[in-house]
Amino acid sequence: MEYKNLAKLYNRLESTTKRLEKTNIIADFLKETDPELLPLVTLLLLGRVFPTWSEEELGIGPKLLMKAISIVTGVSVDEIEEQVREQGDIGKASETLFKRKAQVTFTPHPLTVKKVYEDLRKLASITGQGAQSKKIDILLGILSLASPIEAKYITRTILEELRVGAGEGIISDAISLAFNINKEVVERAYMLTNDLGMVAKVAKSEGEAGLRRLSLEPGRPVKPMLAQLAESIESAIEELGEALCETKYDGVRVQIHRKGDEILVFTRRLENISNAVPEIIKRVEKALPQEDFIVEGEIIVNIEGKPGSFQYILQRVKRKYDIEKMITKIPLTLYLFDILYYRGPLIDEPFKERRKILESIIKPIEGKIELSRQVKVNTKNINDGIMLFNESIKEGHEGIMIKDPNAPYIPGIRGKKMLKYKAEPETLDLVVIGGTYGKGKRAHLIGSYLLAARDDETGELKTVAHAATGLDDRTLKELTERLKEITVEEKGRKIKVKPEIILEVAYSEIVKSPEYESGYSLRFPVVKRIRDDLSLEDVDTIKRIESLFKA
Amino acid sequence: MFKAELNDPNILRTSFDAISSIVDEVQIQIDSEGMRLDALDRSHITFVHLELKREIFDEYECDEPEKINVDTEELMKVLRRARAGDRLIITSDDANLILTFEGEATRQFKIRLIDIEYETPQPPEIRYENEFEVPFSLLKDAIADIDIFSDKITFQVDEEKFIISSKGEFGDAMIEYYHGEKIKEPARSVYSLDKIREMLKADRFSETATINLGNDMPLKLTLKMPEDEGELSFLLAPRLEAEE
Repeated sequence: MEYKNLAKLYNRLESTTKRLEKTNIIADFLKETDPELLPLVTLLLLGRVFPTWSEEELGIGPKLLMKAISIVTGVSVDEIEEQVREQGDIGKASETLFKRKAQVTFTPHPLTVKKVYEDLRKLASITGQGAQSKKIDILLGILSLASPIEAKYITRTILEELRVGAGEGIISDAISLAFNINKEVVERAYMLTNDLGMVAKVAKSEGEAGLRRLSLEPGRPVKPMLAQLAESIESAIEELGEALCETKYDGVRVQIHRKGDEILVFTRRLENISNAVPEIIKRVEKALPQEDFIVEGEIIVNIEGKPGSFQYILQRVKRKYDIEKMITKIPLTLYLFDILYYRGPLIDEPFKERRKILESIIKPIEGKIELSRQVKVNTKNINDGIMLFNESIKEGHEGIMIKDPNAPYIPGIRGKKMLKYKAEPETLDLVVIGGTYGKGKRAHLIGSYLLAARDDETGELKTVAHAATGLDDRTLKELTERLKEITVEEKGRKIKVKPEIILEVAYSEIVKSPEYESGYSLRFPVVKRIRDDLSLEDVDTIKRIESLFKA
Repeated sequence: MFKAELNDPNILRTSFDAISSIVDEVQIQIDSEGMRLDALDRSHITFVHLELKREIFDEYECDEPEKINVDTEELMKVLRRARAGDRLIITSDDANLILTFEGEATRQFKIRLIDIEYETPQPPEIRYENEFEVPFSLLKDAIADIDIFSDKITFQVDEEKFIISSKGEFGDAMIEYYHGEKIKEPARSVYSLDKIREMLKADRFSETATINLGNDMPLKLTLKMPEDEGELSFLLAPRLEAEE
């Protein structure tokens, strides 16, 4: 398939904001696509080259890309920056510049989807000496063959800002429409495999029956089931009738897979952190049977029996060197609370059964690997739940989880079967898309951040607030450095950045506001911390803000 | 197995002076007739073709055709180490291209072969109305003149003259040369000065350059050895400039 066809598809998607229309357009396209190409077409439609859970990154910043565009078009980098400023996006700027391109190129062959995909993937594998110039070479190879419209979408894909409004939801619907398969079956297959490309391919070649056969597989991470916020412990238990309440630990939620002799640890954004936590792997090896399984738990920092700060744990899970030293410096405890697979998938079993299985196979090691603290509560002993909450808080934990004992495990869904109740006021996880440099003494620091939430329909990011307080000087400095690296555009003191850094923000109140794209804003926003453990998909949605507003 | 000896490695060195500035990786094809390579730069702007017939070599053996993929820059680094009076022996094994300089001492370099899928690029076949010769040194001087005011270079030919010119913000430059050849129709094209400069790095291949020129067409520049035993040629895509 020529890349031109994909570019045309992007263009059509961009020309409509209607979800149904987008779904139809994609469905038609998927029908015509060769099954072998479906996995890469699906990824590229999402604006990605690697699946979200992959550790690989393209590693091309705006500066490097502009340099390549400059070589191909013969336009200076300054002029390209000017265009990006004027048009507000690298894609449109490239399209304009490529139209004006004077240098003719020989086209030995047209750009194909496969060629673009493979070359972009190559970018990630280039490291070491001369990496920059090798990366530029690959970019030149693609861009010199690109037409203006192809350049528009290739450059956006490279900077990971495709913005054609085709999110996972729409693509999943399109797969269902294209191959005439029940929506729920497609969604379930996606949640279990985490791989829309594979789902598309199986849907086309094996139909609904094929999708139904897809299931959990140890070694392949699955999206975690998410918890909704409970208004109060009492009301939550009243509503469920009976509940299993557990201490909510403040650490990193992990999914641990055993497949054969291999044990893998994934974070909730499905990053593989196995290398960073060797002691956890050793304990899992000891405490659980030598069978294939997937268990879920929370890793927390444990300093002399007390939970340590969340910031420490990030130092552990992101660590790539000196790991042995860190094991003693920042000791960890793993609390297991669920099991998804043991000799076979268990996600359709009720939670209480899963917990029983987990309890029956684990040999806890105190302070190293334990079961989460749990109490059974019903409408008659609500107090036991409240007591668990108070004790959890006293011990320095975050709050409690309130779980429906009869609910299956539903990957990737935030529902009413699993609730959380925290001591701290609710916060939002928002992504930084811009910022403002300070004045005077603070002129070198980016002290104010333009924050955005996610539109769950289209996947677009929409602004919600400016936050300017809450960070200590060191973090402020670090954040400034990081923002500088991903700056796409600079105008006076204001900058625009690639959406990448997620901040947890507290606030006093949500208010309606026409000033921000989301239609809402936050009063007195305060930055609590940088959330490097979250990915763009975890950024809170406008829907959630809306429901918090109404609540 | 092949083995080729050159009493004067300069021809190889000057060729790769140009080739290594245009392409990073090439495939050298070797058979009983000699060596050749075809390459297209990453930006798809310049084709380069090199042919060295066996007659150039002082000794030449090749039992069966071979294809050797090398990094041009690594090869160039080695060729730069040639000393006056050195004899060069070229061979290869499974993993290396082996260059041996024989002079006062014997110096051997093994350059790792690279593992790439090489698709030999096919330059388009273009029919030109015009062909004429110019001294190589004239071209080399001209790019220095043009460089003063512009990064683009215009080649123009009519019945009498070959004109190289440029217009820049701060000034213009023009070089005229009476070619004394038969020209069928006047022609004019604009090229990137950088690209021309890369080609002209091969400044010891030949004293004259043969040029094929059309209107807004690729430039064909051919350097030939006196007895036709070697040829280095380039095909450069034009720039289409809006008329000012």
